[in-house]
Amino acid sequence: MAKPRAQRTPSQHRARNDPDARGASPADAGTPERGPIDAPSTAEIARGFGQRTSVVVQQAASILEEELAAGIVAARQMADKFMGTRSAQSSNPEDLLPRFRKDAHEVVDMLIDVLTAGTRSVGKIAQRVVRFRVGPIAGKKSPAAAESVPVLSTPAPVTAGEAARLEMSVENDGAEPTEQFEFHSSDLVSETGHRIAASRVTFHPESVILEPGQRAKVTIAVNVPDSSPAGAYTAVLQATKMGQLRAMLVVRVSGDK
Amino acid sequence: MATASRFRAVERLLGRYLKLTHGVLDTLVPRREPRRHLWDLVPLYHRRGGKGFRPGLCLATCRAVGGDTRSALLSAAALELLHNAFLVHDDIEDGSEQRRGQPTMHAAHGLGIAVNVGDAMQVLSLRPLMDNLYTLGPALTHRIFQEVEHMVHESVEGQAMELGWVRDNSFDLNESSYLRMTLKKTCWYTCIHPCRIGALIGTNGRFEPDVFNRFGYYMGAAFQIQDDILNLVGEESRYGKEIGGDIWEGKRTLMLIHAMNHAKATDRERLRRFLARARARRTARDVRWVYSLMGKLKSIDHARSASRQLAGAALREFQVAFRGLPQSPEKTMIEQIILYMIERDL
Repeated sequence: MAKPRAQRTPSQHRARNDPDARGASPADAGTPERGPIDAPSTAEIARGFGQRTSVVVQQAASILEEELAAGIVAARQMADKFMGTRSAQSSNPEDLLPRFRKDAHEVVDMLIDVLTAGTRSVGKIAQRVVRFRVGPIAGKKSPAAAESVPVLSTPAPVTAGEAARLEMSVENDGAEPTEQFEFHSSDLVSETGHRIAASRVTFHPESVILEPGQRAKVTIAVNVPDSSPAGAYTAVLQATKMGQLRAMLVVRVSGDK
Repeated sequence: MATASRFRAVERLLGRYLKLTHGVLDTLVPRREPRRHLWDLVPLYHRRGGKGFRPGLCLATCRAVGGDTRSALLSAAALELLHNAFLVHDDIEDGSEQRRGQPTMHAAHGLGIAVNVGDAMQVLSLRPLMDNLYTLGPALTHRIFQEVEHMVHESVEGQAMELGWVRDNSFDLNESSYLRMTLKKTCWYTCIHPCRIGALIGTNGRFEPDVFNRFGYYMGAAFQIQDDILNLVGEESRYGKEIGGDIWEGKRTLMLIHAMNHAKATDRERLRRFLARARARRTARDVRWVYSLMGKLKSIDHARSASRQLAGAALREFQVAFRGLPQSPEKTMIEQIILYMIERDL
């Protein structure tokens, strides 16, 4: 292996008699960033976050959902669905999980196939009801978390360049009111790997608070770019603060223009 | 800026957990040859300092959910070993010459020995995970292995993304690119899996660890952005690494990506040419120009704001993840660590 060249640190640059080395530290460039950093309190930070929509947090949330869907969580969810198929090969459920995690790509493909087949056979779907319970006890799986993830699908294919709209109902069948929560979406990904950015998915209303027993309608709009090839595009929807409130969104884009 | 006065309790508890972890680490290092070029070098990084966030989060979460920290010590030691292994290799990968105020492993002992020491740390992490069998039983031991396997898998993929950007001189990056890389490279192993593992151990596998995913991600991302900011504005003697090293290296931080995307055409082209040059051909004047460009475009302010927004989100998710758990020093420490991580100046 070739011996690596010695690399000079900024301090070593300063040791040389080199006009470029004067004030070599970036901090000497005269910008105002040096100095004590403000120290907001915990309450200030939490309040500041809550007062405005944070783009960076929304992006992070969508990315996490995409990564989880492609990895360990998807493997766990599919393990239940396909347990019957694999059980002939192993009677120990704990043996199945590593196998599913190893075949994560195959699992995701299967999920997309299942959804694609499902959307072809379904006619108009006016709306879906997504029910959840408020306030799971920490450490205990909430009933809703154990249910399968509902699929929200556009009633008919949408042409590229147009907007797909569908409605979702959310209902609080718990005994306590919810905190204010918002929805966010991951990117939509087609079976050929084409993407529709999460920023093209909007929710109206943007945030919801539900009293016990109350139901609310949320309209989801997806502005499909002109350039989107035909196909079934799938995303994960999730509500902030309601980890158990999630759904798959499927938008079929037609090849007609 | 002195953060100790405000976070004394955090530092005290972290220090206690780190001492316990080091006690286990010291028993894991073989006392046999080869010593000079291997086993004597393994403890160097963890003895050099560091706050012990990862084992601290693991042990504190275990305790917060009602478990006994002793049952999580082996896993905490494995996390710290893997972390130090990543540091040794990371220092090679980005050409750093200082770590915690002293020469990096490869700067002091040569490239080949440093690579092998990093490998040895990874090898050593297997033993405590295997020995979990005697205290946690087979099912939970296997579960912890799955958590660690996912953790290291994500970390190497995230590191590959970051290294690939530098190698390919990638310029068409955005915030989403950075956030995804940070999730994979840093957040799983710094925050998410330590909490998940601690909670699983503390409840004998009953706790649903997915509640920590968003909490750990937001906290880890806030921490990483703050670390990148310190690389530019921190004090070298306290930060322990060369200030501005990330600019020298061409590391795609949130600040650099912001500058790439907001610079006017001429500055963008000059920045592209700077990044296209090999590190050895970059000058201090260039580095200062990049830094001043970041100042002009308020890229560092933007990153600081992003770090605080993510910390705010982490505080919100903390309420969700730890809801229902009784108040305890450990629960308080975990909440305060969020601010501690982003307010630290070293």
